[in-house]
Amino acid sequence: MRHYLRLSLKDTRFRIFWWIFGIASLTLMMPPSFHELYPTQADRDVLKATMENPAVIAMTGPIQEGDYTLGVMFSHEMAVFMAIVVGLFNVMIANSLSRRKEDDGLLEVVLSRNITRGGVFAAQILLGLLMNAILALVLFAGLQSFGYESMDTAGNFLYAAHTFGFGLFFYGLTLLAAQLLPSADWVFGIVLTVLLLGYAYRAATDVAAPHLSVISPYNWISRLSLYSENEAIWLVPFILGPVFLLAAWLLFRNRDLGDSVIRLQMNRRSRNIGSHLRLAFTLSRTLIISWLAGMLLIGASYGSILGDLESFIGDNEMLRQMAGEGGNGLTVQFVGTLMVIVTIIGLAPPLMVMGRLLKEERRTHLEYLGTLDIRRMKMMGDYVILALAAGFLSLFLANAGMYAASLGVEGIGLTFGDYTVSAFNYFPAVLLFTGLSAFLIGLHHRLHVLVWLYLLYNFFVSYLGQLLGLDDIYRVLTPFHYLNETPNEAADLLACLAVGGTGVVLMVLGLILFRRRDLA
Amino acid sequence: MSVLELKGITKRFGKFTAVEEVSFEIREGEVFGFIGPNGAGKSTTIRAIIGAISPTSGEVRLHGKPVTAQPDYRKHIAYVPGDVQLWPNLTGGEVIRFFMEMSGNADTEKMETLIREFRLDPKKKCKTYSKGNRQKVALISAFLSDADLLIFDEPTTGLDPLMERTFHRHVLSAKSEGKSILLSSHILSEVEKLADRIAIIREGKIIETGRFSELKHITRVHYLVRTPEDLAAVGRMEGVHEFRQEGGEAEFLVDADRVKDVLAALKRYELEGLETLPPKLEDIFMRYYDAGSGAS
Repeated sequence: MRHYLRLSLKDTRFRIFWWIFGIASLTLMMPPSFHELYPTQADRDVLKATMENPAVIAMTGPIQEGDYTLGVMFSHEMAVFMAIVVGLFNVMIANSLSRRKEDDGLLEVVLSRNITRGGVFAAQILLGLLMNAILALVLFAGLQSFGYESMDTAGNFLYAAHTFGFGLFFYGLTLLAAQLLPSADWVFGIVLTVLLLGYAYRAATDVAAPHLSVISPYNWISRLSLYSENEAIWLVPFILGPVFLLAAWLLFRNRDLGDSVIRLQMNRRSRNIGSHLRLAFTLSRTLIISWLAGMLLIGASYGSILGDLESFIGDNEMLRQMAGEGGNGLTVQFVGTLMVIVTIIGLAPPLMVMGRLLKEERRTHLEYLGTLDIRRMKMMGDYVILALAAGFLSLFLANAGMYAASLGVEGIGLTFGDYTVSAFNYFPAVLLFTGLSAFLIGLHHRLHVLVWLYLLYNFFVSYLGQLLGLDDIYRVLTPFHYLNETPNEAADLLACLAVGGTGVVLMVLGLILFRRRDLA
Repeated sequence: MSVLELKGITKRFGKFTAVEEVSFEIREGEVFGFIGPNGAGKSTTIRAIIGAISPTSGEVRLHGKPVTAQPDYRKHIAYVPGDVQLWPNLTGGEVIRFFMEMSGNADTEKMETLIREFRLDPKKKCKTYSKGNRQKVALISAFLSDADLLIFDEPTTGLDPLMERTFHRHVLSAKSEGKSILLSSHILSEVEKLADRIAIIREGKIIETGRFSELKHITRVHYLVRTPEDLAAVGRMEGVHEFRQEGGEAEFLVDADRVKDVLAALKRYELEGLETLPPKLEDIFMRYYDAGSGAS
């Protein structure tokens, strides 16, 4: 077991290091910058007043009662949000150590070499405990080192502890899903859906029906009342993490390798795949369809809170003033913000489709297909077509979901046409990201990760930019600086052409480079 | 006329030179054996032929023209990779049909025959296939294509002996149709059985090319002799290597061009049994290594 643990650790340590480094530096960057931006309690109280609206609550969770101290502010704006990243970290590492290894046949080799199933599983658990513990320790030590008055030891400890608990929750859930589902792709898809829908569900219920929100693990974080009441009792539900691990072990112990509890074995007739585009679609179909369903749901859950926004604005004199006469302005402004966020989420599926091309290369399929006289241009071109289609449909469905879920709300004054225009307005971002992806793949088979980092950067700037009024200079590097914010503003055709054109140029460069490059 | 011609192919990855100045040609209707140990550069050479990588220098010519001047040259090629990786969620039948569609072939009758002869269950998903079954999918697809150059990279490593024979039969029938075949292998007996000419590659360089009969001199024959007598004198003869005698059994290798002398010498002893083991690839290379170390 010790040897297998060491092997797994060696295999994943760089990935784990970068995740922990990223999460910790992002988190620890915040308290000092908050301190600088809002040095006095009065500053923070003003901020709190503006933040007490459903739009922000949907993003960060409910605001605690009492003073908006530095600690409360930090936990309110960061904890729920960082939980997504911590969850993603755990899902990816856990999946790569369990189902991915099994799919690749490595687990079978290991198990044949005098390492028991118990040993393998113990190594998987220990690695999960270890990485989450290190992350928690780094966070705790970092937060302690600031020495801000409102960020006391108990609060810091609880912050670190909930990160540990939340991480382990998704680590356990992933290992459990690894026993239930037939392949690593399925495991990743399903658990990622839980992670994202959990967030969307919390967003909707936090605004519309706070007592229902408690089903989502994100809400437990809000209920911890970090840095004020410190309700440690809300750590208890995170016990589910170890429970998942136990259930996973019981299933893993008696299961055939390569088998799964849920088989999903559909006996269909033989398909006739007559072109490379059909092949590419067949390979990415599950991915695309599940993302599209997710986008529709995310749009719908955002749309469902628009009604509450109306009534909320009705009560609040200050927001009413901010929003202008009639109070419609704020809702529409909020819709504009949501459209940006939905767009950024909708950029993930095109990138994942492009990732399939790399996967095809890694598995030496491209080399093989090349001998069928399928040109490299066609190979990449077909994935670009699918990526663009997936991207457009993602934006369109998210907007349609938003529209459909807010149909019952009176007086928003947005037509289906407005939502459609918005999908078109942000489509150049899809072109840009797909183009960048194609360009990086054309350069080298290992560079694709950069486009994901760029997407993350876009997310942070748009998200934190909203909350902190981050300098516009950060937005200059994102397409959202140039594209007009529909439906508040009319679409700027010139900006669309510029952003989209950049994307097309990158795409063409990518295609040319890919044609000439050696396959991995 | 040569179907495929390699002219001084060199491929470097950074500072590492994978193959250096590799040249050979394959003629119409010929089976060409390409042999060498793992890591010698066989796959790199093949990947340069099929265009997965471009050579640092040198030229690949097909039907007399450089492939860089004919973007569609690969329609003349059918390839079976050494490690066949298929799409886990497609069935074997779907993959074979896809390959047929892509090469514009619709001979379903021939497909069914091949599937039957190779005993493949085409309804199963590729992820459930063993290495041998994945190889069968690729082999069937290759034999179905109209390409006139078939390239096989270690094609029989996952096949059982019966399937190996089926494969050999189809190689010879493709040859009789006038197709050319590049057969990369480290199983010498297979190459010996099928190939008209061979090239031997070691550490990225071609060290021998020619007809198998011409190259006999570089192989060694492995003898197992049962005798009550002491054969030490035979062990000292020129061309005899790795001589060992324990009890009533002696074992040694003989350079192919010395076999005649050694057999003549053995006649003088009382032999209870004489077994000849087929030459193995490593025996060939041992000779080169011996020569190399002797010189240094």
